[in-house]
Amino acid sequence: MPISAWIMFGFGCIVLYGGLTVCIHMAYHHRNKMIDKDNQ
Amino acid sequence: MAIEREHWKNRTSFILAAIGSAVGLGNVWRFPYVAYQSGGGAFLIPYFIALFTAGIPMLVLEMGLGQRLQKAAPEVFGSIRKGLEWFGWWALCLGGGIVVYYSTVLSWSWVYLWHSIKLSWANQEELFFMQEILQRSSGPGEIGAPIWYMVVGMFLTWLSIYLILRKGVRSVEKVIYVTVPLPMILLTILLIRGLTLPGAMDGIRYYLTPDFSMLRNPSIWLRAYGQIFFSLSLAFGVMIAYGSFLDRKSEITNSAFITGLANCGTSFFAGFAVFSMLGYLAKVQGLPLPEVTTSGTGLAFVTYPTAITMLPALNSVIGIVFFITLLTLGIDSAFSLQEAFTAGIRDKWGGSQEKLTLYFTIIAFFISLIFTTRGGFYWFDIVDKWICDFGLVTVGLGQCIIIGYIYNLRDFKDYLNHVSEIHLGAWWIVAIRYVTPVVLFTILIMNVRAEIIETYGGYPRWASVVGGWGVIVLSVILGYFLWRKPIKNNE
Repeated sequence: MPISAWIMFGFGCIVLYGGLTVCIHMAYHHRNKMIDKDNQ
Repeated sequence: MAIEREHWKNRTSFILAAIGSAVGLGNVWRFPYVAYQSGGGAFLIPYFIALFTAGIPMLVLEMGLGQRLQKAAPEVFGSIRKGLEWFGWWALCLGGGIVVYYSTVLSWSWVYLWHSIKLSWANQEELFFMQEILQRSSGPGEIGAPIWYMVVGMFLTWLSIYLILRKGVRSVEKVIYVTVPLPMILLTILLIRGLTLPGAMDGIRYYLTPDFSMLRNPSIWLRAYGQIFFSLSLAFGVMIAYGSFLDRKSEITNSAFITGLANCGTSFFAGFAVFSMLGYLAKVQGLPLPEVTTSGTGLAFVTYPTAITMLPALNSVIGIVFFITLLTLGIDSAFSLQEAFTAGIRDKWGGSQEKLTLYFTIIAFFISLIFTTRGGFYWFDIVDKWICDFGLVTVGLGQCIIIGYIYNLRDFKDYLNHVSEIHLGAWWIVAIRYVTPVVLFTILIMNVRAEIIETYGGYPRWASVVGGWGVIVLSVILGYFLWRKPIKNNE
């Protein structure tokens, strides 16, 4: 497979799955913050 | 009529339901082909730009409207301006139309699931689909009687939809924990099987090798916007209905980002499962890959079954896995469309969820029988083309104009920022007011122009007038009727 195809593969993975990971992490972080707030 | 609104048990349920609605058959049978035809890996650039400048902004808009106003589409638009309620009904009627013909593909999948056991299509895949399954007539004018096994498939589809929806959000919540992750697992099985076959990497090379010169062609950019718009269940009122089942403090923007990214992530992933198998097929048939590459029903019911026949082992198992994948991908999208419609009815006239679901299911089942006839395939093709290319694009355009220019968009943005984890900037307003409407308007003009120049699919003009424009006009009339029909216990 040419190098340009590998680059696009990496690009797609970073944007889609990297982006998804960041968003899910934010959602969990926010949930934990809310739970801490409720416990106080 | 004011009735207590159901709410999702938690945010995960809402996000899974939204992903289930967005991720459908198009992710498997349309995206890989469009990407391959539009510059391979280079297509990802306009595709991502379309996702962030139209797809996610529209998801935020629809989910946010439902959550803020706690109503389905007709009442949402009716509360913006009284006369606009019909517009919401029109969107729901188009969505209702889609679920009626979409059920046809699920009916075929049931039939193929049965035939996977013995690989009945072996060595005559195209003939099997067109002649033995569809028993296709000479044209849309020759309809014939419903074909019994397709009626059984249709019955199973509508029975599944009824059972999933009869308790509303409560029963949907239970199902989505299975129907959303299951196709991902099954796609992984198909991918592993595909990657372990000779020729798989040739297929993936075709899928990913970028041709950046294609990006100079404006139609590639429009195709990227079209792909994003159609694959996110936008403009059917589904995301408004699902958003309305959230409580008022619920987060919106990050959920929309997760839904959009998960949908596109599934499409990208499915491309590897499809192209690894196509690479194998090209190799064993000794054909160049472009000759075996197809999309839509051709890919699902002819090309992929051909590849399954030629597998060295586990043919039936892979066949069963593939058709269960199609069924689980399609069923969430189908029931979300029906739920959007019944939510609109419940908001206006009340009534029990179970009864409304039953009535809708029975009526839709009988209408959908037209697609189980020998001429049904032609009508399926015509109705699909018109509802998507003309109806949906017009509703999407209207939605952007209504919310962008009549509703107080800045106040809405502040509201969303108040409840959400990701704060929206001016880019969101630009996307709703300018980018999306301009793109949708251009797509609409191009579609109308193409239809004027040449009748779609070579069908007789009367067929496109009846099944195409006729269905659009009927949805407008039905939308108007539902808007004007008074509430029984008017307060």
